Amino acid sequence: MNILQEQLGEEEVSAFLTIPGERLVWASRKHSIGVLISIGITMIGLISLIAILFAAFSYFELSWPVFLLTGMIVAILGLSLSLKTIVDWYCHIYIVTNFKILEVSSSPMFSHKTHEVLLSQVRVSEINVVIHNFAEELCNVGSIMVEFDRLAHIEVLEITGVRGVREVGSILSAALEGTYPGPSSRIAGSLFVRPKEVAHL
Amino acid sequence: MTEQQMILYGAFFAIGIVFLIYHVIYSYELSKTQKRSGITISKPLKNLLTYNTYAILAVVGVASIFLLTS
Repeated sequence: MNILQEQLGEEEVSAFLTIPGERLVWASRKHSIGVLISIGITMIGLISLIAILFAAFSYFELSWPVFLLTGMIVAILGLSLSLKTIVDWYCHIYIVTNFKILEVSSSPMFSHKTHEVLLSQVRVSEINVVIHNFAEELCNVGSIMVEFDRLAHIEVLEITGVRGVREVGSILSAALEGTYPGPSSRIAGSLFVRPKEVAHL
Repeated sequence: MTEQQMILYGAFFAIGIVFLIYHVIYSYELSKTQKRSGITISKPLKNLLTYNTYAILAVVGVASIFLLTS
């Protein structure tokens, strides 16, 4: 199993399928290119810092055990930062089922966010696929913006860093079409209609 | 070996211990995340955590050796 696996299988998301009859449509993490870039930048910084330290230690003629320990401390700092980046990416998942859209973002020791939109309570008005720049176009990465009517806490749910954004957009469009129970059932239960004879008084 | 170097090794040892404590708490929180949020932590990620523990232990070990032999 690859550590930077993006797609989530049925068994990995089984804990999130809580409603009877719930069927998984799409589940994924963000594209791994973001993590790789972050780790790359961290490693470049790390190597630069060790090189500067080496130059400084050579110039001031300090002892090699001190340089060794300083280098090791810098290395574990870089490793810990890289590990945190990977874990944060790993614990940020998007799940779309026939009943809900769920976003779980967890950063151990730091933060936790769960955002669940029940499709029976909202109407999906638009599904927009956005590729922002040349790099994203090259990697076939982008964002999918699912717009709701005003019943949800937020009006737009943005799913970012989606690999194969065009295909996923089509899958979501097909899956989310017709999930809303329809205006007739909602209006019948929630609107008060004044009787005609009262209106004439 | 000067007293200044001993203090320096002691400081490195202390930094290593701080990293170790942070890492243990972080690993514990990560395992709790699996229970809390339902995200399955894969074996390669667990291995990565273990390798990081070894790296931190190596720093603490080397610092303690220098400290003891000084």
